[in-house]
Amino acid sequence: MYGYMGKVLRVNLTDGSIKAEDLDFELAKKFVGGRGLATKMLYDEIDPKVDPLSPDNKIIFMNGPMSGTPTPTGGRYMVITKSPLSGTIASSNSGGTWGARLKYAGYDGIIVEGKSEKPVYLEINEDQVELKDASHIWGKLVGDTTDALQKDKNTNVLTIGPGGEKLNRMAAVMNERDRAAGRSGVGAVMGSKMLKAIVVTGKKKVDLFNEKQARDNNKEATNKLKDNPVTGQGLPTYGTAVLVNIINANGVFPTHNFQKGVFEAAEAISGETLAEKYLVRKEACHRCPIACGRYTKTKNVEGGGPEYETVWAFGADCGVDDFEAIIEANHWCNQYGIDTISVGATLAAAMELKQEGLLDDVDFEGHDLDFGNAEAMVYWTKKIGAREGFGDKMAEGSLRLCKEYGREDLSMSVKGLELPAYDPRGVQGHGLTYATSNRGGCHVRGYMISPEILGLPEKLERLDLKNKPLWVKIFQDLTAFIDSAGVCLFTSFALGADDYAKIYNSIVGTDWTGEDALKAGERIYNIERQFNLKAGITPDQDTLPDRLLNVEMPDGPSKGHVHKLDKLLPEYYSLRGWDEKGIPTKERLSELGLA
Amino acid sequence: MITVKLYAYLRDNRGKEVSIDYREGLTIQDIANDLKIDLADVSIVICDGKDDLPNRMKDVEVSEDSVVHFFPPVAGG
Ligand code: SF4
Repeated sequence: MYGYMGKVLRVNLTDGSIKAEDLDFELAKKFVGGRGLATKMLYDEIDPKVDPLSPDNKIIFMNGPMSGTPTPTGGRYMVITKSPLSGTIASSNSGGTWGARLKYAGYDGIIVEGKSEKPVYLEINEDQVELKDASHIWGKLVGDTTDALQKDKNTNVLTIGPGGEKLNRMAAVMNERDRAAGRSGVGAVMGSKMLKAIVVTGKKKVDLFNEKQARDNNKEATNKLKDNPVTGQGLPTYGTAVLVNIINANGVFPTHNFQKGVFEAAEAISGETLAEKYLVRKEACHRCPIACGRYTKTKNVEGGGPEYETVWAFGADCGVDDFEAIIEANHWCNQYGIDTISVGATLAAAMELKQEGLLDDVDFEGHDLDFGNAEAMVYWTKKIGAREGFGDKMAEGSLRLCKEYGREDLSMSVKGLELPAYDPRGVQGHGLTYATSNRGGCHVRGYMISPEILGLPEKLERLDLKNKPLWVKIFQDLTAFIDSAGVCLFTSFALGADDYAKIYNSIVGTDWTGEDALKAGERIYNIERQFNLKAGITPDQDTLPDRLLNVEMPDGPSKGHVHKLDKLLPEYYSLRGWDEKGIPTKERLSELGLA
Repeated sequence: MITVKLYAYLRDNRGKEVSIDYREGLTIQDIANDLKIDLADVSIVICDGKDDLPNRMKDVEVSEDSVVHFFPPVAGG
């Protein structure tokens, strides 16, 4: 067995048992690893109808075959569970080194089941695996927990913060302090099981099918990443926040909870401003030649981030032009272990509820949640982390918050997951991605911004509908393969399906083409869809907030447009081999080996 | 007067924003030439809200109060 370590840990927190089980190699190859393999395992092992915060839910940490190998960016892992925020499959991806370290300890993944009576953490030192008392770190912030558990340079710490402990539905799983499996509330599932952290130490090596070929592929891929102007220059120099200006200049930079598409103060919160004023150094995940990560400093805080999505969520979406405040909100999200996108978007929804006069009875403790109030934005970010005062209500996420005040329509979310930083009224294909993403409102299930705005790999007219469903399907399938293989999605700015297949072959010993990789991605997309359908997520939830479908964009270069989902969805369903109601047909499922 | 907005490393030695006097028939290519910008270093041009690749925009004639953006290859997500 090459590329995989061949062992998966099964940890039962109810009875404290720990087993190292053999990996089913055929199953692994069929679902690649990471996102695909863990989703298949979850699908087979739980009833998708379970309460996500009950002991019956499971949480799986899974690597792909490329993690821990010399493949550039080969250090990413996935967290798969049922989401307490959306009720869909939750599949969150994180970088850093923790994933690769788990392979160096000898394991492809960990399946955690049941619930402990008292706080525990899992300590893995190659063959020695133990559950330990975590009462001394329960309640601690992510930084302090990491300090307390960090041993030496061969150790990596994954932990939740108070967010996960207090079952915040937007809680993240954090590793190496500021890398996050951020979305869908996966941290709350760890918290519900009383599992605070997983500390991994190890120095084993991943066996590769063809070492020489893998080395050559690695060199070739690294050169492509270095020579590409985006991965070789744009991302390393400015980080992801370099997007602020181009998204704003296209009029699709959601402002004031998606009430507008242009933020007048975009320049003040751009990647260029970040690089000029706050950047201390750039940072890279394991074996990453791109190094898009930022380490920033203000007079109050320092640490990793912020990313583009975070800058948008706390910035334009909340009407805030104070970059220091954004960096601070990002810092507190990392410390409490909560998702910056969902938290920022929930604050923006609360600001609009207040703007509508619906929060007159709320005690804002002297920190009024008004658009543009930077101080209140930071204050309430911390309160969401600590679940205190009105922050306790906001910790439920924007959909539950807005429902409580009778204005579900003000939650800018799909299937309960808050939308990220692109207004689909001006980017039609990207809106289709939002509506059909298996984890709800997400941009990294098929990043159509790449062709529709950035012109990569070719420029599509962003307002056109033609061929967009096919593009979306291909992007979604390719992304599912990349997430399952264990590399960073950003490599796809420079690499294509054939490059990934070649790398996969040299590591695993397969004989795949790019088409095979896409087929595996399609299989993974469909198993996720099957999970959701069984969980009761009906296809009528493949939609967008009413504002984006029915209210014309009021300003900027996308003025006058709405999202035309009804014109795109039937073609998308048909390309997917799903019936007109959005249910996968038996024929397509059996063609994919899923029937 | 035409407003030209520059981003990322296209700002080096040029600044964030440059004003250019209008002249009859002025194209995107002319503006790039005036600013010593090689369109090969530009990935996206936006002129008065219309965005496209530089080779499809270069012959577009601007008007007296046009706003033109030049972006080098950038990405994120
Ligand atoms: S490109 Fe950025 S996010 Fe991706 S692996 Fe490299 S540093 Fe991490």
